[in-house]
Amino acid sequence: MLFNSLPFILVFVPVTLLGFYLLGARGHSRAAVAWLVLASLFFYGYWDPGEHALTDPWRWWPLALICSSVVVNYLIGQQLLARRSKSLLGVGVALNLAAIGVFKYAGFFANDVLQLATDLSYILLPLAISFFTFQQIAYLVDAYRGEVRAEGFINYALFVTFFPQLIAGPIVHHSETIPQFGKRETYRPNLDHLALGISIFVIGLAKKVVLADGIAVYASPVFAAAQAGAEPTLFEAWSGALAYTFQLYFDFSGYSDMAIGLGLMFNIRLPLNFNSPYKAVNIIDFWRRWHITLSRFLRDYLYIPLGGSRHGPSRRYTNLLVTMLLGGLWHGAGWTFVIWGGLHGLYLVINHAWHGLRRRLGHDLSRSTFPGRVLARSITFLAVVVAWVFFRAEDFDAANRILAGMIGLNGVQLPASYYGLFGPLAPTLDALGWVFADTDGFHFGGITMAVFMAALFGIAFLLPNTQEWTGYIAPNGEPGTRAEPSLFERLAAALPRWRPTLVHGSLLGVVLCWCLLAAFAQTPSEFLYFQF
Amino acid sequence: MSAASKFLIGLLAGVSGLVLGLAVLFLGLDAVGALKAPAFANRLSFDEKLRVLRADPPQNLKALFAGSSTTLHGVDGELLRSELGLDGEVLNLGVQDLRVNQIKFLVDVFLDQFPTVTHVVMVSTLLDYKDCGSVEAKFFQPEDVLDYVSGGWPPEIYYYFRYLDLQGTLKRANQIGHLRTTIHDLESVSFDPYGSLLLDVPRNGVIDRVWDGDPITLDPPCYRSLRALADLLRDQGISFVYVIAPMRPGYLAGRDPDGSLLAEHRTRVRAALAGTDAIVVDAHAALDMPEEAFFDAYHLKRDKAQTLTRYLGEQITTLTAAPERSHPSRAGSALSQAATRAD
Repeated sequence: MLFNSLPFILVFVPVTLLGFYLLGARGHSRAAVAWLVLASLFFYGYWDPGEHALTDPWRWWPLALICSSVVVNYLIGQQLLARRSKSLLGVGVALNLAAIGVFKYAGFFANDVLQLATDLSYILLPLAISFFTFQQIAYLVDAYRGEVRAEGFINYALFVTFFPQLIAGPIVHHSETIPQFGKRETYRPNLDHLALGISIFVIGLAKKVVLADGIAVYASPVFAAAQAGAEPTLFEAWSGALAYTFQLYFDFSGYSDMAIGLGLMFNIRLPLNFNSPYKAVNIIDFWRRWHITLSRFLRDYLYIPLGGSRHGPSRRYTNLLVTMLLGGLWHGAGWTFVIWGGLHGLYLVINHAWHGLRRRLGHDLSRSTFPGRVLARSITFLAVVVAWVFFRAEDFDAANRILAGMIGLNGVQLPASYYGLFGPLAPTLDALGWVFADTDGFHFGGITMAVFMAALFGIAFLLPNTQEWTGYIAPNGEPGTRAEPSLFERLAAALPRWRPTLVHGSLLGVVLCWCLLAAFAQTPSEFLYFQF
Repeated sequence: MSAASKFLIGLLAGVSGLVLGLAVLFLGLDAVGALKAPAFANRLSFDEKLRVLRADPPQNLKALFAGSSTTLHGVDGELLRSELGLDGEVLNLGVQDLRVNQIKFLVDVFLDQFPTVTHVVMVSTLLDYKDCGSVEAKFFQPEDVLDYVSGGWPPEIYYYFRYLDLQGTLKRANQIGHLRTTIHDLESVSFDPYGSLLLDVPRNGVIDRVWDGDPITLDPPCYRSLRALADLLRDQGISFVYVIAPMRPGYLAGRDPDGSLLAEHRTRVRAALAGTDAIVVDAHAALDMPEEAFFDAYHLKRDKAQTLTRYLGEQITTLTAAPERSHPSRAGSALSQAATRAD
């Protein structure tokens, strides 16, 4: 079931909310938690990757897997709480890694790494396995460290399966949600939380349905053409790469907003996952803002155990590279994800080395100028866009074709009608080899796309983000704002903030309705005869 | 009342207000004749035809003309009906810029709606044989389209929400009335009672790209779709007439100067239809239309479309009445016959 589907919004959420509060308000908090667990498992089981019949056992395999994963990890966790055993922790972590290894990476290692001609396509990837295994590995490690309080099974099951965060995060830490399950006020309807939760959900829904899905139509054809062997020209390549850069951000941050909003409707505060990542002034800053809960997991359970920065610069850089390579692989079983992770590892190494050099030169890294920040943001954004090309492309060759296009190696082409727009410059551009023609397979969205992209650019770079606008406070209490806001952030801060008023409710109601209509609509893209 | 309660009331008001506002907009535009048809395929020529079909469904339909704009603009439904002397109706279901796989899908869907059909005629050019491997055949949702054409529940306004296209609706609001009456615009939807749309577009109303036509690469999946269509019709006992439409000589001189593309196309069509009951009529070869007969690369002017229609009427009458109708090599012999005439 998708967050942006009508059955989810109009049936599943209201029914689950109603059941939760009917039970909770009567003092049956354990029953309310059990209800949420059942609802979450229904939500998870509703999804079927293979379109099996209801009677087909394969239809229920992912559901059986997550249930057994919860039970086994809970039992191991209880044992670790009772007896601090390194070997038991090893078994627990190995079981989780084995599950994700078999279901997610078996095909990749057999076919791409070992070059075996083995067909493992029958192994279906259970939805969200990367998320619920990481969450539970963290739980086991913390149980071993003695940082976990003994909890009942039902609370643990809800910590793992709570539907708002189950499919695509945030990767919740047990210390953030389990304590909330023990609070009496969690089970009482709270209209303030409901209003704020709905608002954040609607903002996320609009990011996904209007912005991400809207710009996706300009990204997909360019990547598909490159995959088919076409060599995108300069503007095509840039439009595809930038469109995907914004699509991914608004899609993923929209989904995270929806998760946070849904959690709040149930009086559960989930951690922030995005904090305006494209406003980052360097790659270190980017990873503090992009998929924050994954960065936190990789830092606490991989980078620091590997030694972190404790053994000198070269070991630190090695640890960074290893962490980011594995982080890349976590996103998907393919070489392009490994390259993407490796690139970000390299960026981080360069960034840390640069900071180290500046510190040795006596620079104060906390001070910066406006032009300096603009330059830093531009370089960071450019580096991120280049890496996204590998993240999105199906293979290395397709990514290379797009990158070649982005540096002009595949020529420059614009629609024939643009020739006149360049006025006296047009003949010069012509002489420089620019082509003004409408040819088959030319994927350039033109002015409409440029206007849309400029709007997305403005939203991502200049406007306050969801938590800044609504004042949402994460469970750890940090809203995630920067210590030194930029000029634009100060200007944006002057915009009216979200408040639970009739006007804000009405406006968000219109946005919600528009998104629901978009989810309901089957309208194909407009076909313009005269453009064929 | 708490602030949160006011917010929630506002939220409900916002949701219902937008639905109500859109309903008023659709009803208002409809009242003044400025509402385009629901965007089932978001192709004006198809969506508007469905609207006409819903308002005036054909009774006892006998001949279905299905194809791209070549069929839509090339066949005069009313004239053909009298030429064929049918005791039932004719429907021109041509849709602009369809590929052969989409035409097959269209016919498949509408035969369920019109079980009385005895003849299917497809008037086609090279352009229909592009990109079948990449263009999705299913260009509309059949259940919704057939429900809409049948009339009844749900009401028409439901489809305006189901196929919401606010931008297109507003953009077309001041054009649709004109497009429903003119025959001088490429985007005209001024269908005759049989669904045909014979046009007379001035040269300055046709952009160069449409006048010269795109380069064409014949796509093998298109011929497989043609075969599938012929098999489907044979299995249902429906007579299938395939027409190679006239093309503008100037266009062919630019795109196919040595005639090899058209020759290859003829061979492939013949191969695709071999062993089926399909009849092939090569109107391009038989009629040898001059440059002035066309208003763009592929489409005949109104009077010449009537010439083509008369010719098709004769051919269909002769060939479908011939005793060797079910002969396995019929596709090949019919093609040879037309080609011989042209020689």
